[in-house]
Amino acid sequence: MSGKAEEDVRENRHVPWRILQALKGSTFTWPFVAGFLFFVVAPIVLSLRVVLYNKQKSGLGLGEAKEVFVGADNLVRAVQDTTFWIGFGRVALYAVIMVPLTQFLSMVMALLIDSVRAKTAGKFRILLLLPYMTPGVVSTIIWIYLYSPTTSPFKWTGINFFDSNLVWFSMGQMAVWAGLGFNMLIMFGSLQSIPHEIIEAARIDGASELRIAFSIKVPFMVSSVTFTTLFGIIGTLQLFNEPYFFRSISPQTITKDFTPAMQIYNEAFQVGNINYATALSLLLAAVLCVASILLYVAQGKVNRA
Amino acid sequence: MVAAAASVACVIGLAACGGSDASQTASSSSASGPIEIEVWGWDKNAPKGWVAKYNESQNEVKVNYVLQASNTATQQNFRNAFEAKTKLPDLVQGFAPLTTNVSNGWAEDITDAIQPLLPKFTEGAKENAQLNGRYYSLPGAADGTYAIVNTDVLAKYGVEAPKTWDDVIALGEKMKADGGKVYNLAGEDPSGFMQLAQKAGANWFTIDGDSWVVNMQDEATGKAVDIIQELIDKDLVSNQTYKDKPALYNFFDSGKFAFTTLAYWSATGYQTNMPNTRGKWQAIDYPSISSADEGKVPGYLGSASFIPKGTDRAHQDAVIKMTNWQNTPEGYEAGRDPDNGTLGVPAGRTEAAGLDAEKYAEEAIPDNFYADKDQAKKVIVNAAGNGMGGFDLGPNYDAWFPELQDQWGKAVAKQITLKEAMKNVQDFVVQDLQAKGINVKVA
Repeated sequence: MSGKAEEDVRENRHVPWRILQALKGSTFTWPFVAGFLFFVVAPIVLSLRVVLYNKQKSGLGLGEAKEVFVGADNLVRAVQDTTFWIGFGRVALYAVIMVPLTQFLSMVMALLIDSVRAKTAGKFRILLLLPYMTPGVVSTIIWIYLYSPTTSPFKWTGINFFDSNLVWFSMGQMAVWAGLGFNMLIMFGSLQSIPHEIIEAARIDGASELRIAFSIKVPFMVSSVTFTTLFGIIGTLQLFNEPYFFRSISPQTITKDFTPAMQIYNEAFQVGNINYATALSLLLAAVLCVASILLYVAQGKVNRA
Repeated sequence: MVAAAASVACVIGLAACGGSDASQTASSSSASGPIEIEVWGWDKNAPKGWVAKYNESQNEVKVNYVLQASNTATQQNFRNAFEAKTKLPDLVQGFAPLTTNVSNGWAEDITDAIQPLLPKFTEGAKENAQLNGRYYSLPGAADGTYAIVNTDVLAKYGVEAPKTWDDVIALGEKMKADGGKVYNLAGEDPSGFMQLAQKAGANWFTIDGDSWVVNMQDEATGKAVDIIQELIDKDLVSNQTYKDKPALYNFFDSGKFAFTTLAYWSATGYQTNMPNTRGKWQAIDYPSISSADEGKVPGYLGSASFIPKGTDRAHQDAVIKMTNWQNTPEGYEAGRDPDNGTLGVPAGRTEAAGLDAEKYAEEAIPDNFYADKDQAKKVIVNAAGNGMGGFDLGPNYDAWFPELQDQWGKAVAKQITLKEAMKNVQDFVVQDLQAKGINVKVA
């Protein structure tokens, strides 16, 4: 603590210095809190009003619509919307396969990178993170060329990645490609925090690298895996980019409301029913919230066991 | 943020922003100087190009062109300004169909102000600007649709260029034995089918008194449905997506593909990317379905430039004056792209506009693409001047078009018939309109 800070602490005798220090420390979070309030909390608060109204027209519907109070109608309709739940079922099934797969591959990558020299690790870390840093539009163009039956470097395999039966596989591949680097980095970070003496002791005791990985490194990664899994689930249930891209390739499979996020987008920006889109958004947020809590509780139990 | 920025801009340059503001009306009616209008659009060459030239050429109207980043940006900025009830421009480059603009309360009724402009436009172009007999947008026509056919394929099977859709199907059946496809139906794009329905005489949205009449299953639509269904059922078509252009060009250029419909500007891309079939494409008129629709050129307008609601008459008149100038030889030339020297083929104009469509078609036709350039020029000029109008897209186009895409995709993939698809779309339209409180009847 600097001399100036100590002086401040002494002057404010009524406030314990720990609290004062904590308050000062918290100022570093203000930029984040401001953004969070403005871009997350405020829209949610506003949406609570929007969801209670509907836009109603009359006659030929020419001219501006009137706003009508409808109470919980939009929310009730959202809960009963089979399209929404079918879409949700789709992404949930996709998540069941994709999230563990991505986590497993990321974990393997993190362990492999951790087992090589720091210089080599650095190179691979950057390479694996590149897809994550690539803007969505750019990566879409890359994948069009990778998948196109005409230009694909894999066309010799005879696989048509644009085929409607292969859509899920093709989307999954894109998602793994994009998500691997980020998850790997978080897990790799937790590996870096393992005290060196533990690993050294294991080596002296004659443990193989594989044994060290399974018995020491993996248990140390659990908390970061919980974190990336949670993000993975939330991200996957909000699936939008990949199916939106495949919609033009395989429109008979990927309909306009194929996933909940696509349905919300369609309602808000195509149909123009912001009120109902808001209801669907709140419903999706609530479901995600419940799913996150369940996962947290379950993983807590696993950790204690 | 954008809305805020736009409103700030309007506060600073008060006179530059249109609207029904009382002080503005007063200032515009005083004869102290040129009336200022604000135009929003995404023509990057406009400010230094035609806008500068127009402002120099006269001193009655001064145009302030606010350059938008793109079509989408224009739409977002306009929606924001409209929702925030800040001052709106006096003219917006079209980003949505006519009836969508009216339905959202964006477009002003300009029936009185537009009169001086009308002689310069064809009936089709005028119909495209009207809803229920009133004008809500500037007149305009889609770039005329015509077709091209591969002369090598014609020679191989010893047939003439198709004049009717029956000819197209007949050619497809001959090609089928060799694995060729006569036409392409992209699963994501039902617009070609919509044109065919329009050509057959369909009118999906009409107004009857205080109610919309939805008519997607009439006899005319049925004719178009039957043609497409026959092409699908007999496996005469490919399903190349426009999202994967390399694959599409590759197939079109393979010699196993015969015929497609297009507007003139597509030919440049084809010429560049289809080296094997260069110089082999014959331009033909859009094939007819029956003798009743011979010579009619389909083409509906997906976006209509409009004068926003609340713009006073003086500003409306100023916009019309400017548009009038743009439809003179001098004004049209001012729109030429300074970088590549191109200028489009004017569509939907009458002789009163004095525009030399042949000259512009000549410029727009790429060398070494058409089998006969002069004949292609005739086809293109004919398509530009004879476009059908009035294919109304209804008050909820943004809602039903994605549904049509879904249903069309299923029909093209043979999961359902196109007839079933059209019933589903019509049901969707009726349900959506009813949910919005709009009166609707099924024809």
